[in-house]
Amino acid sequence: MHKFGPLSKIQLLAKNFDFYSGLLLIFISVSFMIMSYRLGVGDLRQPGPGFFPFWIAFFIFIMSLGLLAKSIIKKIFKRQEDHLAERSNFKTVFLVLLVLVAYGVVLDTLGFTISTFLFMVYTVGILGKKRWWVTLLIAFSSTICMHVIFVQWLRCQFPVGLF
Amino acid sequence: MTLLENIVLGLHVSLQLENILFCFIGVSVGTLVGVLPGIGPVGAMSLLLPVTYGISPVGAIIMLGGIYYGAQYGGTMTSVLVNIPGEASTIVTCLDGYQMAKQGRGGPALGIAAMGSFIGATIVIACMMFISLPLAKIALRFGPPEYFSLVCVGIVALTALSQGSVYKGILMALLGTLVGTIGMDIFAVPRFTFGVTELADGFGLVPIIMGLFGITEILVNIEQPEESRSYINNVKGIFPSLADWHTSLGAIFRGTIMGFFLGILPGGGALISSFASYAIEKKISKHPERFGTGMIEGVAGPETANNAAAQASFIPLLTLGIPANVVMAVMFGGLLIHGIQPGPLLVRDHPDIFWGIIMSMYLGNIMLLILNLPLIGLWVKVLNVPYKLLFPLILFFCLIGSYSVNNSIFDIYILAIFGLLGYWMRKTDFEAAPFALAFVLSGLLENNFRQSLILSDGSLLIFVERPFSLFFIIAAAGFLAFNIFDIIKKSRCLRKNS
Repeated sequence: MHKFGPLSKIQLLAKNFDFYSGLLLIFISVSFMIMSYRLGVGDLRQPGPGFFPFWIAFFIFIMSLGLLAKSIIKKIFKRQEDHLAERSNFKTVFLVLLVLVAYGVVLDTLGFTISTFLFMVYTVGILGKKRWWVTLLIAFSSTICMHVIFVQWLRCQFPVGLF
Repeated sequence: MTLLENIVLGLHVSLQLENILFCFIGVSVGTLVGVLPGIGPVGAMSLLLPVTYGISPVGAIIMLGGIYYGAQYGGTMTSVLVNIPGEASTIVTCLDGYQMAKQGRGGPALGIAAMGSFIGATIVIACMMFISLPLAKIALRFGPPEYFSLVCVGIVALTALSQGSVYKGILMALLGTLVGTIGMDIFAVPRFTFGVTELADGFGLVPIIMGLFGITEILVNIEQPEESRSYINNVKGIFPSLADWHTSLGAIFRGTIMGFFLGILPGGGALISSFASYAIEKKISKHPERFGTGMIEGVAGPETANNAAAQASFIPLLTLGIPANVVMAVMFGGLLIHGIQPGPLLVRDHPDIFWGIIMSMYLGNIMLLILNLPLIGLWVKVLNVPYKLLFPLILFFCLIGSYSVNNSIFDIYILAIFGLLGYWMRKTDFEAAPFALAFVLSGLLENNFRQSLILSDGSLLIFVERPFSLFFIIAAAGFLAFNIFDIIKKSRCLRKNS
């Protein structure tokens, strides 16, 4: 039984992560099946460009139906708990992924050096919660290091941006 | 060419100054990532992949290979001294290794692990020299149906031998195959690209691997509250005593054999062989109850096995052209980027590359033995760096690694998406390894499938009519059946208990 008392069927389903994975996989597989169909599936004698992806997506579709069914049965009839996602901290996940995307967005305009400095300030200061002068010190020194390693030593090509 | 000529050729390649240097960089980086929990050889290899574009293919593979077996050495140190596995393949080493270190025998534990690894690796490399040529000769006769079935066995075996649910594993392997079809097919028809030019060649290997393994690892680690790590610092006398040798020698040889066979096996590798070796040592020991209290066999066996397996898993990659695990899949991607198709033709047409890599493994193991053992104290100090300062750097390396392959900002977004996907998979018990391997092999799988159908004029029977292909299909079915038995047995046990 659940430690907070019995949950309704809907609530149990909402905490059921296999259920979501199943739905997501069904969505993916159906869209790929439709797109493959449009590309031309062909037949065994003359498989078209859509042949292989179509059948792979078809198997995914069948198996995710199974996953979905299993998760519904497990939740509603057996009332087993999902303990996997309890210790998740989706806020941190979001903040980390955000900085990756943001780096991609600003790289072209601000250039490698400034973007890297801001990246370090964000990750060390905001995510790592270091004091501001520690943050600035680390950000400054690591930006110089990265510049030496990637730009001068490995000669990677970066957008120059402002500098 | 005779074996001796090949060895001389290999030595000639591997002893070139720049290749010695790459080997050294490889094993050092490998040791470093091995020591650090949270970044493994897969991440480190994909990070260094863009760096290798400027150097020769042999140098690149020597360096990447060094990372893999170097990590096995490094992981041991963390397991023994901190009781945290630096690598997944050194998890079992914690059990007895840490106990030994607590009793002041950390030195001999690390010593026997390193020397056992060296012995195991040397024997495996010697075996490799003898079986690679015959194996490649057989593989030269493989046609598309054989390759299709072989790739299937590889993916199925990896799924079946992994720890999670096989059902979900197969689902992930299928998804990986599907994602691998994005981009142009063999007739240059663009598929699922939505008009995005960056997708014409499909998703890049590096952002996907780094997202699934690197970023996911960061996301999982960062959630956990920082624990102060207490480690055992006084490592004295790394040379095991004669009595230690006496008890470990059997374990070392059994570990070598185990590592060799589980390393060659598709889906096998360092992780499984270390567990298998520990289980065997415990089973045949006269005092199984004393395992977990600091038995030196419990360190020597698994440590030898993981290193032997790391070496042996090069065999299917180099001779058959099929990567047996995710690490080898990254290596496979690396070779392709350098314009080298691993497989039987590599052994025949580029003996300098093949034998150069093999001989460099000898060299790398010697380097690890004489350079790293005295430096144990230094490596362990790396663990003092708090994770809060470490993760921005790892994150940044993942980011730049993904970007610099094609200088493409699009790849940074792919990295973020697959980081999220990997996190979701980790939290819901889906495994990333079958996905990654299937993604890498997707093209091979599809092309051989289509060519087989053209050969057979549309008959699927071609896969069971040819003996080698039939053998592989039976093997794949065997792996699956074995797992289904296991599931039935487990559910019966559960029912009995409840």
